Amino acid sequence: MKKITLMVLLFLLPAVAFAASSTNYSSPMSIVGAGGGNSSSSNYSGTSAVGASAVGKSVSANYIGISGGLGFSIYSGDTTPPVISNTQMDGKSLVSHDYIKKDGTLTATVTDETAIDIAASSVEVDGVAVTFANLTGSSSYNAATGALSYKLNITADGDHSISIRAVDTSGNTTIISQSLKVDTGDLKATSVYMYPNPFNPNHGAGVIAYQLSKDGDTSIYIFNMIGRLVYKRSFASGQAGAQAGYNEVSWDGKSDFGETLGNDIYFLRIVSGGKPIGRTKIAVIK
Amino acid sequence: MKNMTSRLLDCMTAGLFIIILICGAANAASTSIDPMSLGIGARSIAMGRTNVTAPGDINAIFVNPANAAYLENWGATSMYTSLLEGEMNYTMLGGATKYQGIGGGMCYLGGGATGLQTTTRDANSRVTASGNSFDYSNSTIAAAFGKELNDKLAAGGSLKMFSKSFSGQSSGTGFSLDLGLLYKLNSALTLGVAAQNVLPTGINWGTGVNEPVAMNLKGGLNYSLPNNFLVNADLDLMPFAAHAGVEWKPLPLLALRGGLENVPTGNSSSVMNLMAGIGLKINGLGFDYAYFNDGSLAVNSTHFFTLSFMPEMPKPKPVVSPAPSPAVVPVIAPAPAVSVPVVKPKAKTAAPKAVKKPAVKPKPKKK
Repeated sequence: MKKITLMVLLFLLPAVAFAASSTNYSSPMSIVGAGGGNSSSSNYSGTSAVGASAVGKSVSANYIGISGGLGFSIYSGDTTPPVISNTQMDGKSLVSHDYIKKDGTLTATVTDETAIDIAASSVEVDGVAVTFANLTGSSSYNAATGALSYKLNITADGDHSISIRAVDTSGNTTIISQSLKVDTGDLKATSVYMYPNPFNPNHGAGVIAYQLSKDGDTSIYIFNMIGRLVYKRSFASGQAGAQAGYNEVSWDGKSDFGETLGNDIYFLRIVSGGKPIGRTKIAVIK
Repeated sequence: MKNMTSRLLDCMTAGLFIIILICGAANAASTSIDPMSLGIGARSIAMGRTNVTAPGDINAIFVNPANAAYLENWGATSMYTSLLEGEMNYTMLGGATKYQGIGGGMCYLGGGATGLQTTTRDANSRVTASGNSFDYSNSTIAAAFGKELNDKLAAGGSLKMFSKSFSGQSSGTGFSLDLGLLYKLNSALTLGVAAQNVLPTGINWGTGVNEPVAMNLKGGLNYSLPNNFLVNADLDLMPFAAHAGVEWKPLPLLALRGGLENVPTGNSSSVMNLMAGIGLKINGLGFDYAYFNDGSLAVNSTHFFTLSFMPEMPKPKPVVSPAPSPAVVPVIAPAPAVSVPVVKPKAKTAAPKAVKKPAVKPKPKKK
């Protein structure tokens, strides 16, 4: 009887101790060598269970677990994956298939409720990973603020895969990945739109949106339906409106004479080097 | 009676000028474009888009209706062009005639473009096409009339109906009026003035908006030079723009043309456009071509084509005038030849002086 009681106490004591001292864990609890922690990702990557742990191994400072020779361990810890936010390229938001500069700067905020494992976290470009710990020069990671800055050095035109893998000290992982384009050839303008279209200037300014394949001197021309130029704006390379990637330029629907354009069709041209590189048609309807 | 008629015409003329000037002065910032400001006729385009003063030109009557007063015969005309890299196409068809001293005509000008896209913002707040498209079309019908008021002055008017439409979105219709004058200073120089879209009626849209059609005041001249040269020049006042062109006819059936225009683009800047063209005319059938070089964006340069027909008036037979003589001398037939003794009147002479005969010695007798 005494032996049985002792056995029960041996089993219960860790649980009591666990209950008394762990304040920072959260369910679920995983049992017996199951991988400790959770992993999650956003946007494109699948989930994976991370951090298989042998019995007796603990890697989190936030849980209290006891693993022992009894053949099982009961523990719980940080299961919240890191957060990757404010992902930008050269100060502009990123969406898959955007144009980027071959030497652009990728920035993001990478944080975690515990700590980021800088030896495990990395930036990966076309499969080549550089850990946060090895970032040098123009590239860096500030653990205190979570500010990540990574200077690209892409040499070839075409599609490129760029990923940020953030791993916390619990092994939780978050991955974001984008497919982006580099084109160092002649400047191109794609996805040229007027928003809204039809456009009513009396309801406020609209935006002219377009993608540029790289930084370059750019002008916006608007012609009326007899081919007469009514509006023109120019932007120097690298300025807003002339940057690689997505650009938006506000337009109030007025001509260069200061008059609100009449209900009619207008023809917009994105021009560089005296040649149109992008086109769209605008309907002004009040 | 004649003086009263003349005074009446002078009053009408003055009144017309006053109306034109008042309309010009009262013009507010208009916003809807008149499609006919594109230019009517490849000849006009080639000559710098000048057509205020082109007496008898079937296309010019739809810019300055006073030109209709000088139509010589009935005629038909057409024009085609494709603007903005083929995104906007225009076709014009017209006809004119003259009846009992009044010249008049009608034309239709239609244009269209397709593939306008509606837009939206996607989940990333990026602007993108929403998947719906619509088309645009416009049409203008003009009826112009002109009449000579006297041997120097002609006046005219033109009524225009406008229609603009975005399929599935909205459409608008409206009308307006053009007025024009021509003044023949002498056989070589003609002056003209036209006030376009003088009515405040505008275009009424299905959205409840009414927009005035852009008003314009134009002045022009047409000057004939020796050796079949012709110079045209126009000035637009609202906004200011200058047009000039020249035509040379090295042969009766061939015309060579060139022109330019300086058009403001706002922000104290302007653009210079250059034009050139040719014209062929055989037995009344005319073909005109113009090349338009867009100074604002070279790729927008384009072509205009006009096909027209106006039967040629029969030319009067040339009169061979006699040798110049300051006065007409009646020819008197010479009298028939008659033998008439001519009796010389005895000349009145003074009484002969007594002439002493010399004494004659008798001849001695012979023994």
